[in-house]
Amino acid sequence: MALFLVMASIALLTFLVTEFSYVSQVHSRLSYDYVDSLKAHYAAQTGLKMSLLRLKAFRELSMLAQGEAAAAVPGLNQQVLDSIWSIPFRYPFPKDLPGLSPLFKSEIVKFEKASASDASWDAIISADSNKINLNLLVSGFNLAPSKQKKTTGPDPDAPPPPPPTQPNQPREKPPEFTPEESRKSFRQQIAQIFENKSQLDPYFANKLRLIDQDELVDNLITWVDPQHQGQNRSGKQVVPYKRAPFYHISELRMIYPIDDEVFDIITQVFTVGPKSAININTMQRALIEIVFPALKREDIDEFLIFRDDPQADNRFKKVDSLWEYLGKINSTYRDESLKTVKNDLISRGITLSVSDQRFSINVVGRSRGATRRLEVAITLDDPVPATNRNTRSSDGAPDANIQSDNSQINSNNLPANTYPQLENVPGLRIWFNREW
Amino acid sequence: MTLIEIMIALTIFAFIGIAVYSATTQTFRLKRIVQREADFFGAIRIAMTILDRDILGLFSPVGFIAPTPLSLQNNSRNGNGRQNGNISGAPPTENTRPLPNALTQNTDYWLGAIEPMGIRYSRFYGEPEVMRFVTNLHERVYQGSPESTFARVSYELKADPKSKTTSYRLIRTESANAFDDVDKKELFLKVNEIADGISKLKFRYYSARKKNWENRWDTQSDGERYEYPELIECEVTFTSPEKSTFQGKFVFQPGYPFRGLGRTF
Repeated sequence: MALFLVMASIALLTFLVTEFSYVSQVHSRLSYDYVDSLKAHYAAQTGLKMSLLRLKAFRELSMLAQGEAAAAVPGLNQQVLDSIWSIPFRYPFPKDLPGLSPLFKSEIVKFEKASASDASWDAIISADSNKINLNLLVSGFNLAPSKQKKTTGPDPDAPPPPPPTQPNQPREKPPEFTPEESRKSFRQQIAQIFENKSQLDPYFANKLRLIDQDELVDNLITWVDPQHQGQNRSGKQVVPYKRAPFYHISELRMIYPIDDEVFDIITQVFTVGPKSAININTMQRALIEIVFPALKREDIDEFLIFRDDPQADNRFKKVDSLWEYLGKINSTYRDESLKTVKNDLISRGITLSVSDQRFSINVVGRSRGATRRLEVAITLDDPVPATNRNTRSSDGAPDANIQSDNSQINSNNLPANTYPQLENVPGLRIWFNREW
Repeated sequence: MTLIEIMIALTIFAFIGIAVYSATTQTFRLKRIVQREADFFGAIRIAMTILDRDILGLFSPVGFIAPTPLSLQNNSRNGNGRQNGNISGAPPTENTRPLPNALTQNTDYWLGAIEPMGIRYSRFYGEPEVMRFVTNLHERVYQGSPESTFARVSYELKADPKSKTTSYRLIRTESANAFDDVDKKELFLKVNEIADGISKLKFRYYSARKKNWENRWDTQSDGERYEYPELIECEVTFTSPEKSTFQGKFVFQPGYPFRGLGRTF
């Protein structure tokens, strides 16, 4: 009896201890996960700060490279400049990189020992300047400040200089951005990328027959442009039109008939964001076909082989060099017809550049099992200090003239004031960020 | 074995049995209490994590509008030192057509557009027990659903009809139909109770410009026009069914640098 009692007690106690132990472990794990999540957050923030620093250095050195001081810094070419941001960065720093000296290795080890953090992060900066901006479909898009300094080369937005005219001769009207042209071009671009995909994927070719491309384009334009009256022909656009520019590429998913597959196809060539130029040194085949439709497949092959030749630095130093090169391989890009091409680009709202102005930063912060991700979109701008905010007084208080309601609309149906300007001392404008 | 020995053995057995039973029931009772406490604090932690996540994603297209280069600012300012018409500071052109009236109106989640592209700042509205804003951390769960990363989110404290005492629930409403102006019953609307047993809750909003905490915030009002809170504080008191209480202050920070990047980021 006594033995039975002892055995029963031990069994009961074992059960209780196990149960207690399990519950306390679960709650302990929850608490540690919370702490790890916090560590991962700060690791991701550190990766972001480092990435901003690299872009700031890229921006400063790019300006230096095109200024008078360029001669004092030999070897500061675009390839070197791009390597400032393009190499992925991580912490803890890798110690097995080829060419890393023992001194550097010991410094890294010393730094890691001194650091109290056991978190890690990976940061990748990528340039978005090799895609076409869907916001070009908006009527007023090019009214945004467009006189940003080009890192190199002439301003391709600027119309060609007018020929000397007689005093009484009327001046030729310079070409300007027209949303209609941009939309026409966009319809062709969409048709072309769908066609390209169909040739590679028979399944998509069948699916394409069911996609009303005109409706897709009409819905897209209505989504971004406050002035456009959409038709919603099939009545399947269930989400009300936004009627403002895209703030994030994921908005495409809200537009009929864009499903996940069509979304993936469109986002290979298009992007969204504030106005910025396309980088001719990184644009890929699909985009080249759209921007330079006169180029044949063989021309593009030749162009890509020349530009991306690993044995020689054939990257274009200015936009004019591109025109010279294209003129050699295709007659459309020569003499008088070149002027037409340039005007066509301006009317489509396409600006070319030899370096990148728009970037995405993707950071992953980790601490044990916890992970935090950061997605940040950035444009390089002219620095604007806080003291130059146009709607704030010197103490930062809102201007007394700011209207408090919509009653005072001017003749253009717009209030006389504008949005306040952000402090942007480093010249890096974050226009989208999210962390999850 | 004599009767006395049996009696003594049974007595000892009874004592030990009572002791074991008592210890066991006591242990189970304590386990239940501890479990409830853990669930109570776990629920608070989950509620605050949801709130933290939404506030971290507080969105407005503030950075979408390029700062005007100084050279253009100087050229385009009118006599009052303010800019003309559009965001570039350039005078209105033929492309500057009137915006549709609906886009220039302030609504629950968006402010009226004041520039030709139709860009609208989001509206942050906060009271001590209510908060409304647009977040960019919406998770699209179902493949093919017409949802973006944006959502309209609101938090509201409501009385708990089931509770016998004065108790409230924190209700979170989310709609993936982020750009629609009208808050109506719709396909995309999700209403969740993220916390109950609340005896007191108060939101406060920190203004970096005024350097003080505000009880109310509205991005369309004169005081905070086009501004967003730097920090949001949630002072909350929870009471569990066992009458244990938790009182805490949580401070949340939006992830976007609404005041721009400073000299040292």
